[in-house]
Amino acid sequence: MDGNELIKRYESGDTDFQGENLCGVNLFGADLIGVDFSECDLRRSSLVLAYLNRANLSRCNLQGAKLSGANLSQADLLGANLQDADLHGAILYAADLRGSDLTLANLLDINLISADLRNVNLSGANLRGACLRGVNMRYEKRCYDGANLRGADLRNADLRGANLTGADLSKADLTQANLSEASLREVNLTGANLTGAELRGTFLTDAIAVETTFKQAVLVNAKLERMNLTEADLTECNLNDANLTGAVLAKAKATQATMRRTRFNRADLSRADLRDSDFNEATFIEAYLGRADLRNAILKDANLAKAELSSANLSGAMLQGATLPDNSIYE
Amino acid sequence: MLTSELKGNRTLATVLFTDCVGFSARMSVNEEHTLDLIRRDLKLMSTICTTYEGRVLKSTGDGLLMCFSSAVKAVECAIAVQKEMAEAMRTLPPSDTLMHRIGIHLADMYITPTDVMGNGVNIAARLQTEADPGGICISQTVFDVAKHGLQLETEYLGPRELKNIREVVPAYRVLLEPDDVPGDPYTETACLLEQSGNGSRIRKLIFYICKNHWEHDESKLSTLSLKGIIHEFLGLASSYEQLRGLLNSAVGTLSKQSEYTLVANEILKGVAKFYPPNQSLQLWQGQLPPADDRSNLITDSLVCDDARYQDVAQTLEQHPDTLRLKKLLYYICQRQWESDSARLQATSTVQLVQTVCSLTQDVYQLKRLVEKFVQTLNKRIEYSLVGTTLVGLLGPLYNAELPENLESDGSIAFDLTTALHVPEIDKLAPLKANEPPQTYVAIAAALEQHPHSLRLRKLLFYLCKSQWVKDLSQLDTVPTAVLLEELHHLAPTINHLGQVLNTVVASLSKQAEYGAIAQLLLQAMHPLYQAPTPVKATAPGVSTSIATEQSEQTFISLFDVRLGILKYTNPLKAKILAFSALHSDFSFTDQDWFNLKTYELDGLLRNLLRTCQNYTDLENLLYRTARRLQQPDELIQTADTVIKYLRAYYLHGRPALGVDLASTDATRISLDDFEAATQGFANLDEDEQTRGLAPAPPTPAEYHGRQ
Repeated sequence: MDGNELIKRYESGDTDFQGENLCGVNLFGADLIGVDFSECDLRRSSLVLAYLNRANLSRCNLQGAKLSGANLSQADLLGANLQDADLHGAILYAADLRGSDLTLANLLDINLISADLRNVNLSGANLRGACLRGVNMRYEKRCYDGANLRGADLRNADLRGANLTGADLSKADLTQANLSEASLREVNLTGANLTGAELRGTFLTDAIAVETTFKQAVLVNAKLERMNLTEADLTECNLNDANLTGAVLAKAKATQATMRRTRFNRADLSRADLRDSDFNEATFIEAYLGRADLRNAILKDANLAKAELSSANLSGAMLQGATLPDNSIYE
Repeated sequence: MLTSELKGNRTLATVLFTDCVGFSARMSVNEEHTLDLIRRDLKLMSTICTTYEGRVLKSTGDGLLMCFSSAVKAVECAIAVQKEMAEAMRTLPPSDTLMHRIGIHLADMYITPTDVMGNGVNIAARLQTEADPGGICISQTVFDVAKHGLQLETEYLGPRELKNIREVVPAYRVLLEPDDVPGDPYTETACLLEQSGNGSRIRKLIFYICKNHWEHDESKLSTLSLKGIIHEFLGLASSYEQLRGLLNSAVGTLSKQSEYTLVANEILKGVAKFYPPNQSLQLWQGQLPPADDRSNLITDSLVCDDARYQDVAQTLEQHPDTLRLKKLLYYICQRQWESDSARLQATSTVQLVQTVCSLTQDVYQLKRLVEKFVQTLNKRIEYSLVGTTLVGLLGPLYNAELPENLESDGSIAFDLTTALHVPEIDKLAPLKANEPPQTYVAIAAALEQHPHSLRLRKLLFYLCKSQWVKDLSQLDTVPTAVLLEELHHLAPTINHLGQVLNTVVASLSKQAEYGAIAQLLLQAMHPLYQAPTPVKATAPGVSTSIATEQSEQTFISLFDVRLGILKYTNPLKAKILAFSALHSDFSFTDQDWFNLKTYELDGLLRNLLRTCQNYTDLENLLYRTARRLQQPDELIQTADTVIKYLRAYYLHGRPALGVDLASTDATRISLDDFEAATQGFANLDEDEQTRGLAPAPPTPAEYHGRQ
């Protein structure tokens, strides 16, 4: 069946096209609100700027399909195959994409606000400038695996308030992305790039960020308890008021960073490079700073009670008013 | 999920609004400092709110919206906040403190995690405007509930009619003095001035300076809190000298000058204690101050020398463009436009000069200040030249060397190697003859023979007449030579010309093309300017594109603009529209799709902001583009949304929108409310008939029905 035929059928009231073969069909700008395309074969079809609000596209095959600017608000895309699909500037507001496959799809500037992306495969996808506000990607035991965003391109994406608990973001590119208030608990950020990202108030508790780059990122008030930041790059980042209790920063590089009032209680900062950073009023209770490099760091009014500083390098560090490991105050 | 997200949960809650007194005025005097202050205050208020088990819902930029489950705690929180503020006022100078008003109401409302809605919220907001600076105003409901939990000293204000609220709301003022807040210097000053014989005149004058209009109604003035208005007044100046300057210029505009000079003197005496003791109390009456009166507060670059002010004022008055210079000066000092030449004559130029000098500490600040004000005018081109002249004249008063390139910031980099044959012209001053002199005719001939002659003449016409020719026959009515003469007159130096060309080209849609044309024009007119060409120190191989202030722009966060656009329109359509407006019309070919994918929506929006210098330009550009493309109706809707969300950027001004105003925890106000709050920032209009800068557009008003 070709595009015109389909539209005629739709206009005459028939919305059920379940299981049909619609390969390569051209439905540019078509009005197909509420249509049922479940289990259809829509490979390489053109649905550019089409209206598919509340359509049923579950388990349908949209491999290589062109869906630029298509309106798929509240559409049902459960288990759909969208590999290599073009969703540039599409609207997927509150769409249900659970279990769908979006490997290598192009999601540039897409609207995914409040979409349900649990168990979705977005590895290698292009999500530049995408808006994922309020998106649900969280891991649920025995139910949904964590979302797969390995190597995804999320530069400049808006992820404010998104729930990415347990997601796999290894090697993802999140440069300049906005993740304020998002939940990234237990997320895997190994090798990811978060240069210049905005992470105010973000929850990164128990996350893994080995060799991750946070250069110039803003992590003010973020929750990083027990996070693994081994060999991470935190140069020039802003961690004011952040909570890194129990975090591991072994061999991390955090030079010229601003870390006022940050909490490093029981953190492992062994071999970390912390030169020229500002730790004004930070707390390091019971922290382990074996061979840490604190040259020229500002530790004014910091609390280092019970911290292990014996092998740390403190030359040039400013310690006025700091509480030293033996509980005395540095004059 | 949707409805609960939108509406929130209905619940009984106490809502508390705070607002900073005189925020806009303070911002226009010292933006950065005021922003620091408000950030500090809002942070303090947030902390206190959390201590009293409240929740900060959002920030309005200069205040906070908090919600409490206990009315008693809300009132306690408000009292704690005002006490802290008062405490700070006792120790810090007035320019380092802000005063706030607080309004509290208890009602049933809809609360979402980031917002609160309901009639009750509006009542609280209006109550806050009823409060005194540094005061708290609560509704009957709050009073009834709170009085059982607290020892509240209140004053019944009677049933208040609040704007846009149907029912009358009985309100109470919470009394903080005298037990809670023992004598602070503002109260003392207020009492002192109150007791003087000129009490009402003092009020009038201070009110006039703060609010910029004269209040004759005695009853209105008497209900004002003198303490509050004194604090506002002191906040406008960061030194005794500035204060004096402000008083002077204000008095200078009045009819009863001698009476009010005495009043001003009294005020100065009263507030002297806020400033270090070694200040002269004498009102500046054009007399030389004693030689040892160099106060610590006067910076080294500002010289208090009467003779120099007189000289500058004289030069100004003898300048050919004196009327415009004075108008601009007046505008900067009074923040109000005066077209009446009689009133302008009455104003003392010396005082204006002195006031402007006291407002800025070096020549760069002056330049920025002048630019800021010029940006808000309609006749921007003319006044930007006037502004430059002004800065040039006032510069020497700052004791610093006026850098050579002061006027050429951001101007065009010339490339003198491009061939445009213009006959060599000997040093000839432009003559005021009926026929344009040979020089212009010669240049005109060269321009007309140039392959791009049509565009050259269009641009020339636009520069002189501020109107874009649609009909080519219109171009022929005015000979090119005449236009050249006019343009030369408008821009007496090559730098001026460069600036004018910059401003104008930046407002066009085809910037790249007209940039090159402007370049040609500049070269063509080059021989008319006798001075040796001040070639900018750029590398010879530099491209000939006109540089606008792109490099100086700070990074702007567009996340909220993008969110708004994504929520209310199709992102692809927005991109197609922006792309067509900035590059070439989108025609749905494969090549076009490919090109479009190389741009992010974010990048396109930034380009739009760079291209359109003001809101009107943006509107014109986008509506024009929408109408050119397929399915214009849908695209016009898209244009509406894009303009709506970019508007906030133009209203608020250049600095990063929203990023600085948000506190770390509280969410920011939605863009709709932001616009409503910033209506006051809209461009000022001159009284005279002005010619618009944009080419004649159909009224955008037709398309505004969708709001």
